[in-house]
Amino acid sequence: MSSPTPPSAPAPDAADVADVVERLRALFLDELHLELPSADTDLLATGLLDSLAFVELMLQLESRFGVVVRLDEIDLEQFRTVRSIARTVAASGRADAPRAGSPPLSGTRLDDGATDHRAAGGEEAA
Amino acid sequence: MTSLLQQYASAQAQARPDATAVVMNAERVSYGELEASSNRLARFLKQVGCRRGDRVGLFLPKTPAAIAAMLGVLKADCIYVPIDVTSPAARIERVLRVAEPRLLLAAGTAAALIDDLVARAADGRLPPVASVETGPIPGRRFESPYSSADWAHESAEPLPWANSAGDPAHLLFTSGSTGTPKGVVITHSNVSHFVEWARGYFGLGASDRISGHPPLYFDLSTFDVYGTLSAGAQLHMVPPAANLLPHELAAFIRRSELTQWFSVPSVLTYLAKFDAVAFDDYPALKRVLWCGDVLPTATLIHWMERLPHATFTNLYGPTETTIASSYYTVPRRPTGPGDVVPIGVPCAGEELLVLDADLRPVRPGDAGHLYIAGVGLSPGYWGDEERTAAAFLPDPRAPESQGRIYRTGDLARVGDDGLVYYLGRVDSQVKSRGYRIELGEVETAVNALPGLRECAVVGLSTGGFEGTAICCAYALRADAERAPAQLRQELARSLPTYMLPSRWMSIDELPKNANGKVDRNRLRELFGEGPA
Repeated sequence: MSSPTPPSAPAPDAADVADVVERLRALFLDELHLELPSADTDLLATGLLDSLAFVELMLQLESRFGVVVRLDEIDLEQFRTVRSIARTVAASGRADAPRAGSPPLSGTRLDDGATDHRAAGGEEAA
Repeated sequence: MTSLLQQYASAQAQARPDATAVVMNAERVSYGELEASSNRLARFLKQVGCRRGDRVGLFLPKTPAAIAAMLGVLKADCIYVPIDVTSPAARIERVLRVAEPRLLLAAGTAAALIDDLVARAADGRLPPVASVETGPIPGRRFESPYSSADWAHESAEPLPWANSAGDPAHLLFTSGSTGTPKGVVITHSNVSHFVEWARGYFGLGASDRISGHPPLYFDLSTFDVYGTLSAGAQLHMVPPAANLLPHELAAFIRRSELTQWFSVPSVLTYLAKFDAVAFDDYPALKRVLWCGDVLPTATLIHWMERLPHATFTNLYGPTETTIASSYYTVPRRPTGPGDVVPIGVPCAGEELLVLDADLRPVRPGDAGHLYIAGVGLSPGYWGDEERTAAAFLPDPRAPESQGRIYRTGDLARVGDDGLVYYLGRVDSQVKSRGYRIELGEVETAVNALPGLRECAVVGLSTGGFEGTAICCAYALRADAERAPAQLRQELARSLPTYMLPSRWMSIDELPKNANGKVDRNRLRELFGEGPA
């Protein structure tokens, strides 16, 4: 489980990736209040991507890119850097509609309407 | 009953030396190995001058080697201080100033942190560093005079001890409202009383495979470790890589065939929210336990629907009264998310008292301040008589006795059913992802940042996984320009990540009430109304 994109996805276009990298860095700055030194900063080793940030990132990928990540199909390496996230997003085709079959955050059984989306899930000291 | 915690492991090593004690990734450590390596370390510690009652700082991530180190320190009649190696040096410096360790046991991954600590120390000196690696740790500003090669050839035989059950086993640091973390002293008997009760109540045995989820500087991990060792069970440490992705964590529970899961509630909500618990999942799992915060009832219902074969127990208790002081095993699935799950009844040897402002019992059913008495009570905060006296009071029922009660700062009431219900806090302590955080500590750190005219930090209950969201409103000086990302980055130099505000609001002036104090209720409204 180390391939940077899902095996079924087509290789993303380099220009697409560069574009998504810029939009992702803006997303990290505006929504997660994280200013990343570079697109290759290791988000996992530095601890920048913890559970709180991860949940927000999933929501933002859905609302800004129309991408719903299939959590049961991805592996951690795809979230190691902004560039690797961008490759995953670009490879998904940036479809306007979420991919079918994905469990979107907003549609899980636990949503009882009273729950704020930001308040999704988490763990002690990721 | 075992009087010293290390004897749990020793007894198992004698009876079943080849049985597996600790598992992490591909590494398996047997009881015999744990016993031998901790005996060697204890001899080494004594040789380099650690004396009874000395503190030893553990700069170790959660690994089997850390468990051996904990036992080794105890066998040398010393007190271990687990350090959060992901915290910034500025905060650890405050911890070391209180704990005054004789020696630091460190893993190679702590090299950069120790460099930072040396750079910050006024005289450039730290206690000597002993590397748990086979060679010295390559620090830029320090040398580790010792490494595990220095104790590898020590005798693995047990060594005599002088400690007794009332002696401290470890110090656990929690957030302090003024910015100085508090070192809670935990004795051998504090831990063994809970462990003995829990082993009987939950029926822990050698066939148990127990989760090790919380970090070792966190109170809850004490039960994972000593509960496992007392039962001769297996401790399965959750690797950090399995932590971020809910499906990885679920796969870990499945693959490890865990029989007991114990964590803060936010983890259970995280797994449920991302739909990582299938129907009849984790077939080996017998018990799900949580502590440290309120578990949303919706999450509990979800888990109980998915895992009809498991029992679900809410544990309650602050670090100061050791792991947990009360328990409630949920007898049946709650009917709706509005049902309130009680914190239950006291564990053996403990008492929960609901008292009024004059320390008199409230009328049955009334709300009051929750105090705890009994065998779990810590002797107090290390080197801090003032804060100890403020939180640990003479027992008002028997002022002549040596009895004490601990003021939890929680509000509670006893229901008609005789169960205790948690109602909230009396101060500005919050729980975020199970971490206990004094908002005063966060505010003190934000106030120290340059460019701010004023700031206030409030907690906002989001009803979701992190428990309370930490929100910071700030007013910049006229000449200052600062984005939240910059403030966050600067703040990360003095606070651990889990204390950093997740929501920021730039404001011209903080709302004040009639007597000029910050109107925190109004601020919470502003954050609640703003975009998420």
